[in-house]
Amino acid sequence: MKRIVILCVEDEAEVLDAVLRDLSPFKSVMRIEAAESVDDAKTVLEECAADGHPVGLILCDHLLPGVRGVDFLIALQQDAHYVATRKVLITGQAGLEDTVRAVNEAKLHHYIAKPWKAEELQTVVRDQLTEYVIRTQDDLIPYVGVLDGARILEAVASSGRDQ
Amino acid sequence: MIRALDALLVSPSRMDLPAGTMLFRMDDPMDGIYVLLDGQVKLYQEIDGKEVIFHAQTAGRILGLLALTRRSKAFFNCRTTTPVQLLKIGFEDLDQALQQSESLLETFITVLLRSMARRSTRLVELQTEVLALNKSLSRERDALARTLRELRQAQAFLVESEKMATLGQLAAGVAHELNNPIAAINRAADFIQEDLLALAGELPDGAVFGEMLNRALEQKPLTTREQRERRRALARILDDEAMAEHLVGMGIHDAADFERIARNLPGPDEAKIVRMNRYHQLGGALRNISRCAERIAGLVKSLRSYSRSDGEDEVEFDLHEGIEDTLRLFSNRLHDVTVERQFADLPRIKANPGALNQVWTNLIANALDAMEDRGHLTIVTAPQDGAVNVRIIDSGPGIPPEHLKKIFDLRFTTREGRVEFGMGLGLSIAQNIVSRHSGRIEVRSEPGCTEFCVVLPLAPSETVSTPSRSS
Repeated sequence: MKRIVILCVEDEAEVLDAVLRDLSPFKSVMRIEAAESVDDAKTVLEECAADGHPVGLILCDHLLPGVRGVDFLIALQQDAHYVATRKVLITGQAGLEDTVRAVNEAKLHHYIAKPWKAEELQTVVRDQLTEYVIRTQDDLIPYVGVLDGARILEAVASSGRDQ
Repeated sequence: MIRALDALLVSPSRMDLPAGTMLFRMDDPMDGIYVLLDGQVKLYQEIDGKEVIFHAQTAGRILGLLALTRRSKAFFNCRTTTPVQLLKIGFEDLDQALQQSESLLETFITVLLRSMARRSTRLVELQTEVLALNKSLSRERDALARTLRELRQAQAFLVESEKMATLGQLAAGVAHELNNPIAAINRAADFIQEDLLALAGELPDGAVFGEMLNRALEQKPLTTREQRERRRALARILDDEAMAEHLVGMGIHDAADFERIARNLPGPDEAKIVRMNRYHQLGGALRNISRCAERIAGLVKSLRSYSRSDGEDEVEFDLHEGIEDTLRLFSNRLHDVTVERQFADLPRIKANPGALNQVWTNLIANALDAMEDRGHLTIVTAPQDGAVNVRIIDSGPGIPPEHLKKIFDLRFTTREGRVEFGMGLGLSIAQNIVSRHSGRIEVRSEPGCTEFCVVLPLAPSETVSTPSRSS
């Protein structure tokens, strides 16, 4: 089974370290990738596509060198390949205008303000990934332990009834 | 004429009236004229409740003149200003008399014409007077408008400088407050490091602990791209992607390195990696705490020196410090801006550092606004006899020539409908501060290159140079 990728885009090494550490509970079932710019993130996406890893979640800072996080997410939303990918902005700097654009044009799923709390970040990531796997994966059982088990089991049960 | 009238009309009755008597009112129907024999009257109208006198000396001898021509209503109000003696002659009597005597008609016409001429002259005078009044009114109105504009400008400056002063005090206060926790964080990180290294010496797997800790503390940061490349390379060698990921995460890039460190640890490889990773994470967290505390300390230092509360005092200082502080505080807008500094070796300048910081802030903010935070910002400093100049050059689209003259005007802003940074006060405040330092701001602009040049004398108070004593 190809592991689902969580991609973090963050240009400050210390902040990236912190996000990655907070994501470690998901490490057993997800593949966690890091990128420090939008260009770098695009390379990661290409590599994932080449290796056949689906991208389940992108956690993106806004104030990145070159292309802004919001613009990156908007561009992704227009790519059929990443429509299902959950998109979360994690930033301390996006103004209202950018955030509104992110919600309207990138179908942003969640916004996390810096500084964040580990529990908050993990709850958001867990919810978004649960949503992602329910919508896209055939075999949900591997995710029961790490993601939202109750919801996943419910989904499994209801899909069982449908059949 | 009076005599002729007396003769023809059989001595019409003479009326003696005291001063202040109302003879007729405007729009009263008139049935005759008055011939003034002695005394003075005034002809006036009431306009907006005020008495406007059209004729006093120029009324002439015949009153009801205009009514005579129209045979209808009085055109003015008429009131006696001195005791008067007059004749009242009804229109019918007058007609009769004039038909009877040719000489009377002639005399009457002459008197009539003379009166009309006098009144007409008076009209011209009135007109001229009105024109002159209008002129002086419009002069006064312009002066008032100017004063109002200046008052508004002064008020805007006051509000702005009050706001800046308050913000400055707040910033300085916050910066000061931040120093304590930062100092404590820095020291605490050092203490933890000392204690952990000491602990490493005492634990059975202390050698691994110490090595992993030091590796993390001294690790040179790799780009995410480099990390991925190393991970892929190692995964190929180990044929184990998860293991490669763990090792590269710990800064271990080859299998031999891992074997060397891990041989002192008990248990299977997975357990060893978990243990090593824990030690490495400790070091990494410590390193991040120290680095971030240093960054905050740097920002706080800039914030404090930027908002230094020197008040209005002029001190000698290095211009570059203020520019660097300002740039550092703009760092969140400089991600996509290449900043090029061409700093000359400048003499120290005597000025108010806080005020000048505001000049740099406003000019740099304008440059960044123009470039939309993307492009090339060049700051050039150079000595220039008895003065220094600071040029702030941006690669923005440039200022259209028709705007160039207005940019220092109060509230000139091209951000239509958007009230933000300084509300268009930025440049006029910068200019105000610079001229208080006896300096000037020059601007030239073409697409892709807009330059604001601030020329500041070394010591503003001495610009009116006194002849040197030796000569």
